[in-house]
Amino acid sequence: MESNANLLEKLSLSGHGHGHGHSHGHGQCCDHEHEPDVHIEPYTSSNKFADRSKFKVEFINDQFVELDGIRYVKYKDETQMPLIIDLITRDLSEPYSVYTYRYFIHNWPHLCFLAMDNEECVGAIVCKLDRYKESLRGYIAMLAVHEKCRRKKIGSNLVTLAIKAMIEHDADEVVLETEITNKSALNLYENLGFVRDKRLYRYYLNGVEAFRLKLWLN
Amino acid sequence: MSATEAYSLYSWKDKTSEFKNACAQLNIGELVKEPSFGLFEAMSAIEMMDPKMDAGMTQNQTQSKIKSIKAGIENNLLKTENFGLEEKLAIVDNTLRNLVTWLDGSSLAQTLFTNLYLHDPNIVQDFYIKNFSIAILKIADHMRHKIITSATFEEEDFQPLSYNFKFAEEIADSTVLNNLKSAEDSSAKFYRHLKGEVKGEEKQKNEVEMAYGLWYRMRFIRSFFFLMSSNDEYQAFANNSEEITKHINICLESLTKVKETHELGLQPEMIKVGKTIYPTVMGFEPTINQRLLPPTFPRFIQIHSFAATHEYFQVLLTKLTELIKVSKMKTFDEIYDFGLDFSEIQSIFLRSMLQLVILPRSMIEKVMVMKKILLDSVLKFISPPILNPKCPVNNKEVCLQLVDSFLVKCTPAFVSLFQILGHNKPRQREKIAHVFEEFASFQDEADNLDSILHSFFVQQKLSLVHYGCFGSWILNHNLTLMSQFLISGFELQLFAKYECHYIYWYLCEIIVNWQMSTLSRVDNFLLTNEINFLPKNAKKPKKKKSVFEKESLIKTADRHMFSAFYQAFRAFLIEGLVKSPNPDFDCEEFRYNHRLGPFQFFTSPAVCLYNQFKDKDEYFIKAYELNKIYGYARDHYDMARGIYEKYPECANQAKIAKNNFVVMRLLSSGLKKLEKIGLDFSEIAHFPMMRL
Repeated sequence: MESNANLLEKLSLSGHGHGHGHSHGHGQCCDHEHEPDVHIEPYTSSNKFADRSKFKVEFINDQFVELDGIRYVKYKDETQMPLIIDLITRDLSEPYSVYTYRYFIHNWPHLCFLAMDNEECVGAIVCKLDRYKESLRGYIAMLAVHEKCRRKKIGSNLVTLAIKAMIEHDADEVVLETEITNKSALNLYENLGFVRDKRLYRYYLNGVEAFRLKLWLN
Repeated sequence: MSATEAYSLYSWKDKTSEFKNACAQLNIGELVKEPSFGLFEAMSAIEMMDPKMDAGMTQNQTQSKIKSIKAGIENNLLKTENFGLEEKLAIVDNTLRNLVTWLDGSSLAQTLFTNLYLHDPNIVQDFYIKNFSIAILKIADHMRHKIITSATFEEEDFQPLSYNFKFAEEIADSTVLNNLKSAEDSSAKFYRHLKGEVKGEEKQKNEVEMAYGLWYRMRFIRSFFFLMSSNDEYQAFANNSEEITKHINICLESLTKVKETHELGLQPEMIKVGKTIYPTVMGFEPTINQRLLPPTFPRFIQIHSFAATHEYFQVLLTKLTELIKVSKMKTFDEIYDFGLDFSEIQSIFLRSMLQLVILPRSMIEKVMVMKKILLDSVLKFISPPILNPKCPVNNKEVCLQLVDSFLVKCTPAFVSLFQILGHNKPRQREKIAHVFEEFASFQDEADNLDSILHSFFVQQKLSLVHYGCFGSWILNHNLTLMSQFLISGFELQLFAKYECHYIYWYLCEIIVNWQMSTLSRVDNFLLTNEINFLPKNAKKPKKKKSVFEKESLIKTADRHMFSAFYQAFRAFLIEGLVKSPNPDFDCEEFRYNHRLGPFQFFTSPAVCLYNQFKDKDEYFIKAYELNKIYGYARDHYDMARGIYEKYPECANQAKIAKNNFVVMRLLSSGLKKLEKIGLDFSEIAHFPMMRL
């Protein structure tokens, strides 16, 4: 087949059309006749997470913060591992091996927090943070709150702590997956500004669909 | 090798206590690891011998009674002849259940091949079960090939792995068909013979009914085999539709009889393996293939019930009839619209069939057929003057070659786009976003082509116009893609309520606006060229109705709807009827940018930046009181309703517009303050019905 350039030569025309503008009426959503005169400051771009230090959490003795009688504790060492495993095994649909816990917690101990009601562990969050394509992606691997302590914002507080720690470590986004039937998890995350980035068809071993939720930090 | 032999060969030593001692010397948090085997690898490795993690353990927990078909026969655990009728019905029905379960995403090892007769059908003496088994093997193989050929499945849709099972490759399709014909004939004969003999005893009546059931099972499998055995759906559906229809109807009719007689068959015993409950009849052994399964977490499967199996076949056959219609369609838009609806269905097999019916299997032919479809589409949409036989331009051959090379360039992308429709809905959305860049580049190509052709007309002092011809066609197409991308977000329930306002705004202000102006420009283009083609002193035609009258009107109604929804959701946000997320981490600008980011490649229209949206949005909400905003939404719903009501196919839209009009009227009156608003996205995903 002849190349376009040859054909154009025969036609003695340049290869670059001058193009033409498309004229399009840009009626407004509110195309009404007499529009009131309102002064609007032009919108300037957000730099919400420009100063990441603003999100740093001050822990008492570098160990815990207390909210509504619950202590939110930084992960300290292996002795807390059974508490976390017990709590999480209770209500997660996927089977996890002990190495799954170790993989996350040993590599990213600073992204693991426990909620303690006196000596009892009533909530835990386990996360990671690493490079995914162009961005530094925080990932919430597990979140669990003891059944008897639901509706006290413990889950929300744990996620907030984890996100703040991720922001401090320059995360570009935070993601997680949850079953589409898990309304309480969806509510929790959506209230924090996570949106459903993707639907994952038959994602879990039990055949249930999932959503990938995402919070963009830039 | 026995366990003791293995033990002495490798001289195993028990290290448990040594290992435990060594571990005890580590401090808390200390970890010894091999550099090449870190925690990530450890996590991916299975936890040995934990039945929750190790698929092999399922085998140990539930011992198979039958180790192989031969062993089963030797130990008198399964028959190969002298089956009772109730056994034959049960074997057929249970096999169909497993076939359907496999097609729905489970592995062959856990489904169809739990039927031992399929491991070696030639061992079976019974004429019916033997031929049925061979036919099922061939059917499974044909279906598998069709799905693999169309290449539109993902791991979550279908497991193509054949585990080296044999699919009766040595037997020709024609032989199978002949044998099935004999099986059908002789089962019919048997039924008639039995019916003639029976004199009214209940037990005997049952026998007759079962014989009737067997006959229709053979009839079903014969026609179904015929339908599945084609290797060229593209030709078959276009040129042999009568025969296909005949066999679909036989299958549907037989399926009803199969259902009616299902209860007469032996009812399966329910055997639990892991979390899965297997309906088991003679010849089936649920755990026979456990060792073939990958060493991963055992996947929970659910064998389809007989009712679900019946429904699966019924949908499959009905949808095949629809595919006969699509094989007659000519333009890309028609085919694509059909495909969009068709791809709603879950069955990967049917989605694959759509691909095979529309385009031939070989890539060369695929491209040729698609090019013809595109040519027909562009002719129908904008009838380019250069393709008009009356076009008086000199050097027409060269111009036509330019058009041809433009279409050649576009064709592979359209082939891929069509292929995307074969994927499941969530994957479709991802994949559509990936083709935007390529389709955006066609806009430049098309504009370029138009401007060359136009300059050529000018050079030859022809009064014909070529600007905005191929360009408008591509533009219209790209706008459809953008709109489809956003609408699929609603269909997959991706948008939070607090995001809806900017999505609606974008649909209304950018996409539908551009679509409407494109259609009206194409109208003018068609009229201008029609006049220019007339002889100089001919009477000019009167301005006719727009070619796109209906389409434009429906777009106008859609635009009113999107506009109304933008206004309503904006007001809901202000009033708190839709809750804004916690402001700690939320940033609307980031959300907007990422949601609309996939449009960044397009230059027509270029993606509308957040600050442009925000300036208009801020102006709107500052300029008007809430009542007034609700009032505008009310008016837009009313206008949309007026248009939709003219078209019976828009009845749902009209109903929603009318309902939402009433809600908006109430809110705009200010008489009622609402605590919350119900939003029902179930009828039309992108047009929620509001409920007080």
